[in-house]
Amino acid sequence: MEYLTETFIPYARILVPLLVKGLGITIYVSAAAFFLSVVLGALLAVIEHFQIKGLNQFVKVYVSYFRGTPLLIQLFIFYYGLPMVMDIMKNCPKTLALILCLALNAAAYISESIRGAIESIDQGQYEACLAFGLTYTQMMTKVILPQAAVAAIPPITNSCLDLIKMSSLGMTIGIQDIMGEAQLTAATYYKTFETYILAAAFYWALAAVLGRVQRMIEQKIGVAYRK
Amino acid sequence: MIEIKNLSKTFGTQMVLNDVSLKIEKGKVVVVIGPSGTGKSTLLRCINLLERPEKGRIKLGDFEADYEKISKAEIQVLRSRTSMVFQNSNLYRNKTALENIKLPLTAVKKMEDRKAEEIGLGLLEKVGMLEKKDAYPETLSGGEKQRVGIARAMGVNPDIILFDEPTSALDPELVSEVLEVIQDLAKQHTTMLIVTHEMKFARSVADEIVFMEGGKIVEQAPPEEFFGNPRTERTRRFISSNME
Ligand SMILES: Nc1ncnc2c1ncn2[C@@H]1O[C@H](COP(=O)(O)OP(=O)(O)OP(=O)(O)O)[C@@H](O)[C@H]1O
Ligand SMILES: [Mg+2]
Repeated sequence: MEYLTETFIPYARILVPLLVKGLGITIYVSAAAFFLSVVLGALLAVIEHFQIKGLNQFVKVYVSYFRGTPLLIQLFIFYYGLPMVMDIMKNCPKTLALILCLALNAAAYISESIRGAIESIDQGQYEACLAFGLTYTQMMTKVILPQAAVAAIPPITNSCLDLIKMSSLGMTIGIQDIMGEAQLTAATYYKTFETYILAAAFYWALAAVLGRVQRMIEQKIGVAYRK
Repeated sequence: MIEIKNLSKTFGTQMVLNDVSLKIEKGKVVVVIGPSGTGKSTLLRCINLLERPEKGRIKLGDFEADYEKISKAEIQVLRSRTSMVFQNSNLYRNKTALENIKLPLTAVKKMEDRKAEEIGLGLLEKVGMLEKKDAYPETLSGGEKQRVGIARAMGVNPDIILFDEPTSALDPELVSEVLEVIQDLAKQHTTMLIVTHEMKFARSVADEIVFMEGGKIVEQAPPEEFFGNPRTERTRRFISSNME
């Protein structure tokens, strides 16, 4: 009890405002990266689904690389490695580097989720479109993709959650997000346990909010699929 | 009037349709029966090009096409002037009963939303599904789905409706509600080509029965003659083994 009032709460008073500042950065980085990764992921999924010549091979290598190597290495290559060989990369701000890296990584997973969702739509749905003379575009936009979107929500939410957690790697290149602030403050006050417990609580709360958003979206657009 | 001439279709090395010719007069109902795997579904699916036949010609009223060199535009004509009722209904899962009927009307026939709505409601009433107009397919029984599927097929006002075993995926107690709807259509002289295993229904609804086996039409006759006095031994055996 004494520990709470004498140590934990006074320290929390110092740390929490810093973590809130970091939270802003975490949300900003994650939201931007997530948005980009969904756009890029959809593009990659379409290329794979329609087996677009030339690009198709590239997507396979892309997905295999980003799923097969640690994000930390991808980030180091991007932020520390590329500036050594490419001049334009020298001026890349670290926040942008992190956003792009996270987006490129998550897009690999999201493209697989979208592709899986499209492939989960049964052949009969395609035939019911073709038999009535719908064009290819009408079939995709009015029947197939709306159904695929619903199927893709759970795995894409997972990717979003992963992305938020992985954004903490930004600390390694000096990003002042939740993790960055925590690490700095822990080092100043020598309070490792208290710091990371609170930092974990922040990520956990974000995950809880995301879970709620997922349920809300599912309620709204999943209405057709409930008995 | 729809006429198919010398239709042939192979899957790999298997000849599934072997030089099939068939003519259906306007307002008539032709029922196709025959053992499993003889190409009945394939015949229907070749008419609207869900399968691409290697050879043959098709005539639909004033429209005529050669399957060997059929163009995209011709395929589009065939698909927009025919419609299909599937074994598993294949209703658009993200659309309500009413929206299922409206989609081909607004998207393919470029009809105004209000007009499509009017047609949709009228047809739902006809098949006894008006009170379920806003229900999604997931919440409907098999029989209800089929009735909406039939309404969707009627909506586009096609030259012919193709039915591929519309009742064989249904629980037995739901079969009659669907067959009754099809009977009604027959009474109103809707041109239909129906594949079914329901012999009693075939007998009462058909103007003409077609018996297929091994990718060929073995026998073709009006129902009284077909069931009362089959010409080939093979047909006789099929009828007797399927009538009980
Ligand atoms: N897409 C396909 N690829 C390869 N073979 C196929 C394909 N579709 C059908 N077949 C084969 O063609 C033959 C005819 O099939 P079809 O579905 O037309 O028969 P059916 O008369 O409708 O049979 P059933 O009464 O069981 O529905 C079968 O041997 C089937 O295995
Ligand atoms: Mg069949």
